[in-house]
Amino acid sequence: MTISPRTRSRAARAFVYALLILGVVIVTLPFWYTVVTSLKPQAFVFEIPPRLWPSPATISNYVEALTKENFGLYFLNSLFVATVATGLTVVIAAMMAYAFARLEFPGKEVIFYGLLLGMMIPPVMLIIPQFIIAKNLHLLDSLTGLIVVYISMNLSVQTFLLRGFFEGIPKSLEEAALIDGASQWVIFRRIALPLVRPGLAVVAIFTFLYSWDEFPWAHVAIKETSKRTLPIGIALFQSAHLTEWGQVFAASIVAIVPVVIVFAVFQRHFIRGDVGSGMKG
Amino acid sequence: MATITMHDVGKIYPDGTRAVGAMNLAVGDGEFLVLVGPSGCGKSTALRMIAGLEDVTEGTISIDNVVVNDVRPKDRDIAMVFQNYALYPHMTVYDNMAFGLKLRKVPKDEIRQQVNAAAEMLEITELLERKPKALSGGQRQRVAMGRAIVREPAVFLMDEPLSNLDAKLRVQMRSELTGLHQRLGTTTVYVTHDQVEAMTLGHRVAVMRPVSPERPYNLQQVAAPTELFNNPANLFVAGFIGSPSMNLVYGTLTQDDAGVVHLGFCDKTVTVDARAVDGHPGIEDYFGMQVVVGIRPSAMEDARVSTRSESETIEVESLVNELLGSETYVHFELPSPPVLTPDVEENLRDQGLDASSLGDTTKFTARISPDVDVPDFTQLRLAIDTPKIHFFDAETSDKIGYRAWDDHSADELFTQRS
Repeated sequence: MTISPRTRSRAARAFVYALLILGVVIVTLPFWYTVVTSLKPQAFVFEIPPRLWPSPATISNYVEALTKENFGLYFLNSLFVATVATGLTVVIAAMMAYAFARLEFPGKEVIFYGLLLGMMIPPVMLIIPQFIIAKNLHLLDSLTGLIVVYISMNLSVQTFLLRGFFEGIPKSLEEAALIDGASQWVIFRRIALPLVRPGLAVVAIFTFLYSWDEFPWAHVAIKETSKRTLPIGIALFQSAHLTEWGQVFAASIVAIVPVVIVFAVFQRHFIRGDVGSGMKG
Repeated sequence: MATITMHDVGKIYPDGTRAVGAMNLAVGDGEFLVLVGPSGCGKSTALRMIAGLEDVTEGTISIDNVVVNDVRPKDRDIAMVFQNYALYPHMTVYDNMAFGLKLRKVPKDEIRQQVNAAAEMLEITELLERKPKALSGGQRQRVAMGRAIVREPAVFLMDEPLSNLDAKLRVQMRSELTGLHQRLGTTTVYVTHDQVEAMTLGHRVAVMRPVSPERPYNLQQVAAPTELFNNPANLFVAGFIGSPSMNLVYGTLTQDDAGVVHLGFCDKTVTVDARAVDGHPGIEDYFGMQVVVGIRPSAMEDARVSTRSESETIEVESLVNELLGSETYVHFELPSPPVLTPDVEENLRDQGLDASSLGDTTKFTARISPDVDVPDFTQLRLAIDTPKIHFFDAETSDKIGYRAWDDHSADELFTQRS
């Protein structure tokens, strides 16, 4: 029996959809489970089989988590660290990327590949050397210390990413600006930067996400209770004998909110870039 | 207002390739000079050197008699229109035009006034608040022009500004450019690969050609359009300028006892008008030798409506006739091997062809009056306007008796004009 091409393409399509649906389920199920659990009373958390709908539902987990210990302080600490680290990373990475994309200086590529090397070392391996350096520089137990490390951890990737964006700007735009009387800084600030907005948005989102979520280094570097960030705070909800999973999940949901906001604010910038729209045709 | 002088200018890229060599050129105050040539002929590089976007490897470039080799683009008092327009995509048309003035710290009121005036001149006032992506190709082109004229620079540099427009718009913009130049009178250097654009826009046209090891210079001829057409320096210029291009055939010149010069080509013989002989000083040395004969399509006419004498006519068989209404093109072949010199090959390459496309006959096109009816595949008597025949050295490709371009110093060219 032969299979007609039409049947075959239908079968292929069904397979693709099945695969995609499976992917969606895999991605959303844990999130859904988190939401549901955060709304369950503690007694129902370990029910087998688990309910995928919270009944009875309660918001007590949220009330308790948010009023517990220093949740508010941890939240603000995280917000401060993530915001400053993101802002500075965007500025520094953009300047570095522009230099690598457009300026000529000796050893440019060597330095660039050196920078990329930083991307290839697993962050966990860096914790001990980082700890020693941070200690010598008195950057332990301080939010500034966290910010410095977070920026340095992000710079290589983000510079790499932005270099591509800057290189996508037609050279003639910069030449036009040069003839219009722009200095290198003006070209960067008034021509190039506005045109790589989609790239800057990506950098902002990823850096914020990283700085907001980072756990291992914050765990190592911060001892003082008042300087803890949110991931550490949430981790402390878990204890050896009894973990209030409902509260852990409630805190996690609250912790997602700023990330969602940052994403919502920046994503509209990378929907459509207009780098090429001043060109011909 | 300014003059531009290029003195022995050369450009060698860091990888060792030479793009421009021994370029001597003087652009007069208020002149519209066109650099034309096939791709890779160095015309854009030359323009970018004047703009200061490329370093000058050899020689000097002066604007208003000041050497500008090391002057930054913004201090050269120039404005440039780019082939791809290069409008700033994130700025409105107004901001695009005002950008250069803002950077020069011109007061706001004055900027507004100047931008509005330029916009009015180009009829883009209603587009001022739009961004480039909301503009059509033709509108973008105007904005690019506007950005250049608003600063009232001493020199306009234009790098194939019309090449991205469709044919109709290009013709319209071409005449608008001429009008604009007449109004502003700004010295302009214009780069194009389109010989029609070159001929219609330029006060003078500089025909350029890629450098080669044997010929380390680009400029072939710098002359007024009519001069280029009527007196091409060599086969390259002859083939590049004019459409349809000049017909070329190998021929031999002889002189009879009465002093009349006869031209034999293929199986034809015609007498050559004395004016053509006089136009090629030193042609006597070529009598009896093979030369390349150049006859423009427009220098031929159906013998029935021509006033040329019988001895200046040839009998051909027409293959294809193209009736364009205002003129008719008659295509025919002569049983003679096609003219093939490095110049001819270079022109073919520019059209994406090679020597094999010529076949083994010489193809001719004649432009004749539309009033005579010529069916395909008929015997036809064509009169040749022999005063307009060109003779070229078959070895060097140069027009016989033509004064070579490099005899002109830049100063000399300039004084010739003014």
